[in-house]
Amino acid sequence: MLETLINGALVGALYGLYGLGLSLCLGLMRQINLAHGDFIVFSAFLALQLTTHLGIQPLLALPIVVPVMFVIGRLLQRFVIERTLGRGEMPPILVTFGLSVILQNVMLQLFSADTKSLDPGPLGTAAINIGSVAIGVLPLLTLAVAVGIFALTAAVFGRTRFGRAVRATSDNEAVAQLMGIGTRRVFATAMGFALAISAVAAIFYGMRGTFDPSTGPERMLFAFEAVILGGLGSIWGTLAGGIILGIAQAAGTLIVPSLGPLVGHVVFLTGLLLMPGGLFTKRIRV
Amino acid sequence: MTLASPFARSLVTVGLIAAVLIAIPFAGSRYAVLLTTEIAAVLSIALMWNLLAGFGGIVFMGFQVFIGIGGYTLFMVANGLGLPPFPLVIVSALVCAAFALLITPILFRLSGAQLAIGSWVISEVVRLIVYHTAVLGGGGGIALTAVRGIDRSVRLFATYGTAAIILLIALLTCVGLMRGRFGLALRAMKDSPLAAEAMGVTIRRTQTYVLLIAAAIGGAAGACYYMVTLQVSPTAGFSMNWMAIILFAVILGGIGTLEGPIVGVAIYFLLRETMGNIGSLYFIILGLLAIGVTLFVPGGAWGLLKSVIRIDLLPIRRKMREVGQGA
Repeated sequence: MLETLINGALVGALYGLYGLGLSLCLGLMRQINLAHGDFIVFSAFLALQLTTHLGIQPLLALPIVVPVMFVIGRLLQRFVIERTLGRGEMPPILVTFGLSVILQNVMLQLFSADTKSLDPGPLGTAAINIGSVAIGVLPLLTLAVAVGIFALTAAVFGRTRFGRAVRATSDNEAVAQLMGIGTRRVFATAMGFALAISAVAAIFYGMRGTFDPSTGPERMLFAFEAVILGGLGSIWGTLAGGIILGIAQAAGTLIVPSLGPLVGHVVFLTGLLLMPGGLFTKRIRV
Repeated sequence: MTLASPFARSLVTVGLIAAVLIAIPFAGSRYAVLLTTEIAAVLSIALMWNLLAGFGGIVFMGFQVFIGIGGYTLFMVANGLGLPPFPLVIVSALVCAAFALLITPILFRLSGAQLAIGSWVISEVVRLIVYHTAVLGGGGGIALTAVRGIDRSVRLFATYGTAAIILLIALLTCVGLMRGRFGLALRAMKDSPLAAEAMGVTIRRTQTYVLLIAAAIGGAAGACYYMVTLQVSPTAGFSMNWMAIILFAVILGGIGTLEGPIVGVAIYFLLRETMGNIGSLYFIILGLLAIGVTLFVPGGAWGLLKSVIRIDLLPIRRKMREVGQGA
């Protein structure tokens, strides 16, 4: 049982990574991307193409998939999402939902509905024994990479000029422009970051589980739950939210193996009811 | 200036739709009746989602939850009691309204995009619960066995009649609500909750009412849809495809107008019936159209049409009375 819960926590680190990209959108940039999960699945398919055609380990696909998704993120912001901003809450929701449906069906056309996964090779079965508990090396690596990326993101968005520019833009675009910030460029880069992070998450997702063109929306829901459980606007909170979600799902599978996602959702809704602000509430700036 | 008062004009339009609905069983083929049943159900659902999102600003992206619950309620009650299912859509409506009331404490903790995803989570929760409940048929779903003794053409016309009545109720509800105080409160709330509250609109109550109405009529229409297919399953009843159809139809027609969903659903079925079975390509085309419309023609097809013919068929806008013009 302990083993299941520990593994749940480690899967949770992956949910945290799903959430981090969405957290940047929702918390820092205050915009929404309902196609977030579909971009994760799309990245996983990109990695799959590379690993099958080049015969490389999935992790070696990272240096290609991550920059590609960064560029896609920039283009997405520049040519689609940017045009919906400043026109109320509805247009970004409608447009990114449309994008989600399009992406799912494009992937269906390109890659068929078959379930796929990325073969991690020997890394998939390697495990470390601590007492009576066996912990996989791959889940541990996922956690380590997640913590590294969270630290990097927190540093970039918290301490650099660029991070300040993003926050200034989401606070008040007009004033940010007056201060000499190229607000559109800044947001496009931030969106590039969000999708680049999702690409990393996608490769670990593909190595640990299976994916098909329709699994994107569920990734988006997990990401959203991690963000809200952790507290909107708190970067490290998203990792904590993801780990809570992972443990909740693992506990669910202990009851009935297929019940994991349901218990995860219920824990999220309960959390929302009891702590609307999430674990690490940031003071809401109006 | 205009021929009749706006409300009378709305009634004329609804009357015309009613006349068409009455004429179809007499003039149309069996296929036409079946297709119109489906159109009526989908249009009622689209009208209700538009009322909720387009007018009320509550972008409920898990609207399929009411369609699924409506369908399952009808099947369970009709099969359980062994009664003809047609009038039981009222039970579906009541159960959906009760469910809507139940989720308000969670739902209204969120707003905007977060409410959109939150409602999606709620729909997933219900789908997974149904999926894991043996009484509800689990993953395979259930069949409507209550109609087995009923003659096929009686069934066809009774289902059609039910769908037509629901559609007329949906239309009259939209017209009635939007022309009255409630519609004004709703739109004020969408434009600026703060200002609306200052003017005496109780936000939470207005939001709850519109959600209950949309859930009830949407659930009844969903139940009606599954009376045609005779089978409901968790994957179909709570499918995100429902949301895609509703959203694309409402956007293409023109979100936030009463005519929009009507035009949009017409476009949707026209495309579907003419394009044939091209599967996923169809959703790609619809998605691209919807994004294009949102970005470049926010008024939708009805907005374009209106700029040409300059008439409101279901007018809800108010004009300021000029001095001396009187009532």
